[in-house]
Amino acid sequence: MLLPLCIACNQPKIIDDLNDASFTLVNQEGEKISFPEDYKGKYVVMGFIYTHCPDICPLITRNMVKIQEELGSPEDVQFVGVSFDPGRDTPEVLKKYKNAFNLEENFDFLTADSTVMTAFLDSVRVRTQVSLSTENENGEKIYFLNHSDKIMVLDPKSRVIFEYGGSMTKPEYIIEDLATVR
Amino acid sequence: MKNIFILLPLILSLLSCTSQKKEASASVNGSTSEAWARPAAKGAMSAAYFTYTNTLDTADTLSSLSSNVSMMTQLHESYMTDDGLAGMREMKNQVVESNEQLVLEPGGLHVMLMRLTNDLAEGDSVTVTLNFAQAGEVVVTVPVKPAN
Repeated sequence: MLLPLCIACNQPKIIDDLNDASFTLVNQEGEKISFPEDYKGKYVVMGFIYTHCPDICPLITRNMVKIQEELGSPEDVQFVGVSFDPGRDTPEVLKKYKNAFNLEENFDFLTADSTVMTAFLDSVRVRTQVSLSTENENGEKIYFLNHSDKIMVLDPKSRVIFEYGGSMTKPEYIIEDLATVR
Repeated sequence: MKNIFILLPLILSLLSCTSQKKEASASVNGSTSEAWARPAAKGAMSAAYFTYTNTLDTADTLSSLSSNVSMMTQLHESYMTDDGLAGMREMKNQVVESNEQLVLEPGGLHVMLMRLTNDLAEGDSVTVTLNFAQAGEVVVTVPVKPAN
């Protein structure tokens, strides 16, 4: 009688349920990813980045990389970096970004048509706004984004069960939380 | 490794002609340490990190920056906006007080290497030139390596 109660106690609070969502995204290989369908059955550690951000976003990516390394690249945990700058972050650009981190398999970087990405980001409560904008000597516009700093964990039923500050949270904390549900 | 970065400007200045005396002065009066830059692809952005110590008797101002790997180079700061977003802003004319440090580190101040002219991979190096109002040119060469 006590055992089911104890198991219920260990269940994390459901922050969002994305089970019924349906987004067509594209990974760094140019392959279509149906989100969340293609990741169902796995835990998903998902961070939000853009490749023109050389400081905070690499910290977010680095944290996810450390989690994957510490866990030993398990098959039941999918790692995903979602770009909130789809206009510049094409699959080719994301592939180069992934290569710069020497990442393992089971680590996707996703982009999409800007309309789809806007809807997707709304669904996971990630905000962006254009901030610094400047031009280089060739007249090319360079802009930067203010953005949510977030890593989230989805369970195998595509429910968001944990959220963290993406760049400032120690990977150990996320690993400990994952250990309570895996 | 630290000594390499501290001594490099001095070595370069000793090898150069008299028109580059400011480099010699800068190398004597300033020092750098803990230097590195992020790997990144051509056309993308990278960041360089190090600590510069102003050993002059007066405050100094970082007027401009340049590098050998980027089309634009600026001093930027990562910060949190009032509404909780991660942001980044250019820090123009950064003042370094006498005997104080300019600490460039992930999540804070950093040299912004914009529009890289070639790929940066582990094992490469980046040369950043800091133009100070008092110390003149300070040349810092940093290795490219992944973050720990």
